[in-house]
Amino acid sequence: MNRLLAILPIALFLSACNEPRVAALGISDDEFAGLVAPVPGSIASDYSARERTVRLFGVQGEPAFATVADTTTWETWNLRVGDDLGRGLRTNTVQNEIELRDATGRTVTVARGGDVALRTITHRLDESAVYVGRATWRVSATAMQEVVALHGAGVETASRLDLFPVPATELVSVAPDGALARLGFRAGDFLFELNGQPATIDAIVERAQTAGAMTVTMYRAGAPGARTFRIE
Amino acid sequence: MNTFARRIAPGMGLLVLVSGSVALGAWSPPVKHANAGDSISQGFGANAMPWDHPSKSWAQGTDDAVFSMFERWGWWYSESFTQEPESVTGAEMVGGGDNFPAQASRICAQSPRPNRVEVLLGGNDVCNRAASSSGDAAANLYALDTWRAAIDAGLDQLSACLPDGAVVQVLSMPRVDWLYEAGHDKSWWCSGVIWPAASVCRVVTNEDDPNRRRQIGTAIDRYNDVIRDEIAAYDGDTNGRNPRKIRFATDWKGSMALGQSNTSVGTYIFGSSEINGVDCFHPNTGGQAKLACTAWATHPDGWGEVSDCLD
Repeated sequence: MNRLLAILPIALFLSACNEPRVAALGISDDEFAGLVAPVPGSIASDYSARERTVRLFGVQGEPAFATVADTTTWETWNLRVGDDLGRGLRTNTVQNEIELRDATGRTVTVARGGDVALRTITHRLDESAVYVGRATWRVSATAMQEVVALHGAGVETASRLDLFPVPATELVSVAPDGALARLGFRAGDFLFELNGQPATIDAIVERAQTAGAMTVTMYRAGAPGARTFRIE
Repeated sequence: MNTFARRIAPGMGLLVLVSGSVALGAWSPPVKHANAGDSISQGFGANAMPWDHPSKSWAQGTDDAVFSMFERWGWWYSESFTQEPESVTGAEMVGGGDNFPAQASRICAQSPRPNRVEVLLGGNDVCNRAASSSGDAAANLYALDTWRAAIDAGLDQLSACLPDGAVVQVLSMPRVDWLYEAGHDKSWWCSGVIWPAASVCRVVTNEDDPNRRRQIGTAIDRYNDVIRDEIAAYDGDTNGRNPRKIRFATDWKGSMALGQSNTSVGTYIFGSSEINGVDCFHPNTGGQAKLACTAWATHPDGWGEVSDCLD
């Protein structure tokens, strides 16, 4: 146990150092004009782009969806026709290859057997909380303050004392633009504790707007356990 | 077993392995372990509370009741043996930001890099998919090509980055249709309350037709076949992607339909006493101990009979 405790801080430090980050770039007027999912009232400087290399792992399902991986972070996305990849590309066809299209009709084709370079575009509030792996989010306190001011927490909850050996707050519904959704929570999640105390929505929202760290223990089918938020 | 007896066996095992490795030139003594895995490898719910209990994990655990792979290497080979686990509750083999290629990338970023790597993933790849309304209950699972591409993306990185003499073991995944039966047998609370309220693996727990649950289980057999095929291709470098001859191993010898009952994790039917009472779908301490025993019995460093582990 002592050996584990000695290793832990080093491991955490190294994991933070090794977190893949792809540099954010400004977008052009053409890219701004080609956004498939612009935020109403936004301007070009509200967006940033990232250069990625992606690989088509495969296509399956009814209706068909394509599994595409970013070869730097290895995060994958399952894309069906109509799904957006960031705010700049929408999935147009899914067959043996997939075609992504922007609002001006420019297309990118991702086929099997080769890696393809493309740019993904996000709005600044899309990055108010970014998943960085290992059940950890990097949160921008200032962006989260803006999210809370615009959209609030965005949840309906119910107290559940009957399911688990500890009291839980169930997220009955989660609005996509609200603070809880940005922090990665979904409808059907059961929240147990925030930093060792019973979790409340108000406490999570307040904590997410101030630099520091918070850990939320929760149950989600398929992904139970603790979530860590590094608030910068 | 007393300390003396426990320490004799490793020496004998080590002697055999070292003498064998001189000829093969592809084995190094265990120094450090890392793993890629999901909630099973995090010991989720193993002691009846709804969160991770890594001390009770088959891979990284420190609880003697489990006698994990980490403890076995430390016990039999080196007291200075260490580990840096990378498993994440919720991870898939294919999907998301903690999938096998992502965890392999983190293993490769470790310093020092491990020379023993354990992998157990796949349950969430099945349970996170939408139920199918077609005649094939497994229609919305990842295709075998997708599954294979993710495995290869992880193994490519490990074969390139691990030190000479390293060993990577990829365990077969348990069949969720049999976990369904274990939970169903455990209590009405599991199938009648917990599973629907907490949405536990609805692709099988919400499927009333046993034949359609078997379709899901058969699809998992095919996933495990792919694991075996890819491990063989990398271990023998027949795909040209492991020129440094890193050792790759798996426990999977084939499905129960081919007569391989209780020869691997994927052919073991967990009993109701081996899963927890939290979500009735994850192994408890006893189930974790069986996983550890099976992994050790099928690992190039280990010994024993899987059938003894799974009796």
